[in-house]
Amino acid sequence: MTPRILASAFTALLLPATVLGGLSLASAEVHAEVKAAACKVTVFLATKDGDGSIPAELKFLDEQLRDDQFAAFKGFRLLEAKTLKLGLAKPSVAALQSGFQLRLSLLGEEETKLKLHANLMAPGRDKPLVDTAYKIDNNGLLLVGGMRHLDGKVFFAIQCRGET
Amino acid sequence: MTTRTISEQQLSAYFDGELSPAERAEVEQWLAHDAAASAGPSGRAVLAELGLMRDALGASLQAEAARVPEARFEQIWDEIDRALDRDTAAHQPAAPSPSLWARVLGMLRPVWVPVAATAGVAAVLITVVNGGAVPTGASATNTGELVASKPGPQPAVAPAPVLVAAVEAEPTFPEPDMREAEIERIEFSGKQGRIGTIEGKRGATTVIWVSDEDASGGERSL
Repeated sequence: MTPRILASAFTALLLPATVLGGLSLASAEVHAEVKAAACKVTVFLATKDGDGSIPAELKFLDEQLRDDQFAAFKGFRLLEAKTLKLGLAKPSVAALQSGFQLRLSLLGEEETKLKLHANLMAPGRDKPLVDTAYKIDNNGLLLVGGMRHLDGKVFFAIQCRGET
Repeated sequence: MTTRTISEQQLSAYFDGELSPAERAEVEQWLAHDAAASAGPSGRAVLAELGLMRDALGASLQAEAARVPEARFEQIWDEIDRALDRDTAAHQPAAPSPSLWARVLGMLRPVWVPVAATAGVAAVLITVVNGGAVPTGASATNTGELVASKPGPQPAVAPAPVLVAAVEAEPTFPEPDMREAEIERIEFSGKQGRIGTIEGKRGATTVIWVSDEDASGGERSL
């Protein structure tokens, strides 16, 4: 009887301690200061012609591309995908084959969100198409686009992940 | 002259062109005499009402349809196709019986908490007793330094499960987290633009739409 009680008490004390310890370690990891970020820029073309299917490379955007806001487009194809490494306040530029140029900067971290600056230049223009500062969850996704390009409209999916 | 009575159903079928030539001739003959003979609402009046109803209904449906873009119709058909595919798949033969692993998990479910607690305690005790040392050839570590410090012959290691390999193929960018971005400042230089949100099952995504049309004042700060 006594060993049973001891075992129960031991488990009751040690288990919460282990769980709490693990949680505090995980929490410390989450709140570690973000000093850099890696961003994946996926450039794709949306066209009026197509069978409505979404290619495998753009499947991660399936839900967005099937939304009413994209209902005018029936064809989607990947133009290019690039990965950028950002340091704090050190912009990184993606010169894309389409002639567009995307400049991304990590401004910092605020309320566990990444604070970023994006500047998109069109070929042959001296002013940016769009220049924005935004906050987004780690590994969050921002879509920018709608400009005429080739036989459709070009979009940029920007997904960034903080690194400590 | 015929004395046969024509029902409203027959008149309706006549209106819709669903009668045989013989029945059609009979209704037309009745209609020719009906105007003078009938005391109630005449057959022609019923036909006129049916025509009015058809016109009104048709105009209303056409107005509704005109408001829906063509691309949306395509999307609706795609959704119907997918629903039919799902329905077909649901009628496929039942899946094979659960695997041995699933059955073992099912058996363990009632004692899951005590088993997990015991395993946790055992793991902590082992770690404490061993002073945190990792046993030789342990597959738990993935640090390059540890592997490099043990250049001796390595014991055979079972191949990694397929699931782990798939996860490790893209370690940097898993499926994006679908939560709205907070736009603090935005400027569309000489262009028009707007900020939209796509709500989905996995969350919301912010979309910055840039138009090709030049705008007089394109700056907007939030």
